[in-house]
Amino acid sequence: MVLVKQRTLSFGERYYFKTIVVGLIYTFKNLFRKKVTRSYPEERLDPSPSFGGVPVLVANEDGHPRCVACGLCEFVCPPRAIEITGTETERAIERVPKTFTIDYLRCIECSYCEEVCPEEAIVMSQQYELVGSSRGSLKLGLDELLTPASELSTRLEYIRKTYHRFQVAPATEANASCVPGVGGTGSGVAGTAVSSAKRRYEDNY
Amino acid sequence: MTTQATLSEAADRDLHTELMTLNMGPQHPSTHGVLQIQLTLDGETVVDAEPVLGYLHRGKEKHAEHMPYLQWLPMMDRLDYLAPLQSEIAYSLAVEKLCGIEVPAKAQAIRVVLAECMRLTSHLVWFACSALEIGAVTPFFLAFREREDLFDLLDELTGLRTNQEFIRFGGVKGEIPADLARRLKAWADRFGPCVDEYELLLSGNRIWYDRARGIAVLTTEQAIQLGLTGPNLRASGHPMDLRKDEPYSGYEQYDFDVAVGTVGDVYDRYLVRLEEMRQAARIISQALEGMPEGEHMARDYRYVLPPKDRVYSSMEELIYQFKVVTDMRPPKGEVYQAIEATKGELGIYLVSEGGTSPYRAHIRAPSFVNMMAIKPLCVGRPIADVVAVIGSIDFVMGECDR
Repeated sequence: MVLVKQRTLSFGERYYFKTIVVGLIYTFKNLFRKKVTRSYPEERLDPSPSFGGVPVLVANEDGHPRCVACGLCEFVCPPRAIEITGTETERAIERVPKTFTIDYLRCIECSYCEEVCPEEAIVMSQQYELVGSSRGSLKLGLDELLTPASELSTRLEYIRKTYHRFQVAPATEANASCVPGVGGTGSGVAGTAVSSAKRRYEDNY
Repeated sequence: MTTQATLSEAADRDLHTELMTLNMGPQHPSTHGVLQIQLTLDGETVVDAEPVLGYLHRGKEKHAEHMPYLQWLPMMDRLDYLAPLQSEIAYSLAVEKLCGIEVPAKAQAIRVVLAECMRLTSHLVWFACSALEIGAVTPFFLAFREREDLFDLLDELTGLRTNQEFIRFGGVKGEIPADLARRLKAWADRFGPCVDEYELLLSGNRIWYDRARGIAVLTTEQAIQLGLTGPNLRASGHPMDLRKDEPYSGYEQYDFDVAVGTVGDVYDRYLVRLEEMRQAARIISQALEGMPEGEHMARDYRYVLPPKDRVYSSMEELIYQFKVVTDMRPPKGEVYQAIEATKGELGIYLVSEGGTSPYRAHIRAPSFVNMMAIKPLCVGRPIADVVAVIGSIDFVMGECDR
């Protein structure tokens, strides 16, 4: 416990001499300090990889979404900004979204969707400016949301580092095949991946 | 009684004094958001002050009843929006108590760092605004300069400047990278002299001093009777601090002092908060230095999301992932968990009936309780002191109305 001490004013303080002198000295010193403000529209903000802007969908090299329309992000979204309807497909992943709508006006950028997604299909972008001329223009559909994985590489790297908790290296060769987009289908069928995952599983329990 | 007394005094002096009702707020710039105070004035003297609440009521407690536990976590950020992570920590601790999750030591240390950073950002805003309201403009820029530096660091860690959503049940979302920890520690070490700078410029400034010293004195008994907690209670001379009295998140390991006032006036509340800022910087420094090794999330996959690399590769973890998100059911029971938030004792009370959302949730908001001191402090004082009182009590309407 520490008792705070109330001070009494000195002579100089009572008649403002000291206050004025100290204030002027302080102001003068600050003239030569580094500027702390930024002239925003001219000087852009350079967001760090951890920066979570509004979410976008990740597209594979072939342009298809990684999303399998499992609906987990739709369920977890606290402000209910996401709406998905799924459909079946001939491709290996069997299920794709027919429509995928994110209402950016509702989004609170909590990154829960990114955290729960089992396919690394929805990630937070680096976009921090949201401007639209109408409410409808900020409700984006599948086509507008799809972003090539190459454009999102910094964020993908960041989430692998953050959410892959038991891994020493971010993407070792052994489990690269089970990380979607890195070398596999995301379904984890490659023999090496399963065996190495099993080994790590046993190590950890 | 006071009304009667003032009226009879006026009658004695044979002055034609009429009481006037003045609505201060909700758009008044010094009412910290949307507080309305109905003042009854006799000339310039306040005869009655009645806070009117509810302009920012969003029904958070009702929300909890139909939201899964995880989804209510971002709601906590919107309580005290000057210290969002504090409320998140309180709620997470409550759920962890309910479920019996053991939080790893590293996560606890990170939580302590974040909680103290929040104490700093919140107190810096208080310092900036309460000084500005009494007429000192410079402190605003000084405090926001430091706050901006801290926000840049927190932004790099959590990804967002405010409403961070960084705490999870069973731990925290990520760990503090070594490079960032070094910079954060350097910032915390640099912060002590900044507080000295504030003191140099403000504590001895006579204009400020005359408006703060001996104004709105709250005795210890009065403060306890009103149920005040936090810096306001400590400034009145009662050393209650939940970090010392009921340590959570491993606060017992850190060496810090509880600042206590002697008089209980506006000036004491100011000094106590400044001292708290110094202590918070000390705690951050200690916690970062002695950061334990290990994991930052518990491994109880009934309530905690499994690691993502496993989710991609293992069926079992994938099932857990879906299960935790859609069907997390804590056991039946009731818990109350209180933490020492920036404004005082922030308590979360949860009643679980074994479902996916709480049967009832209650938030003991320190701002709400502290606001009750407005009336006893303002009555009998000139109207100009109302602003000083509001500034010194330091409440946030988001938490108050919730």
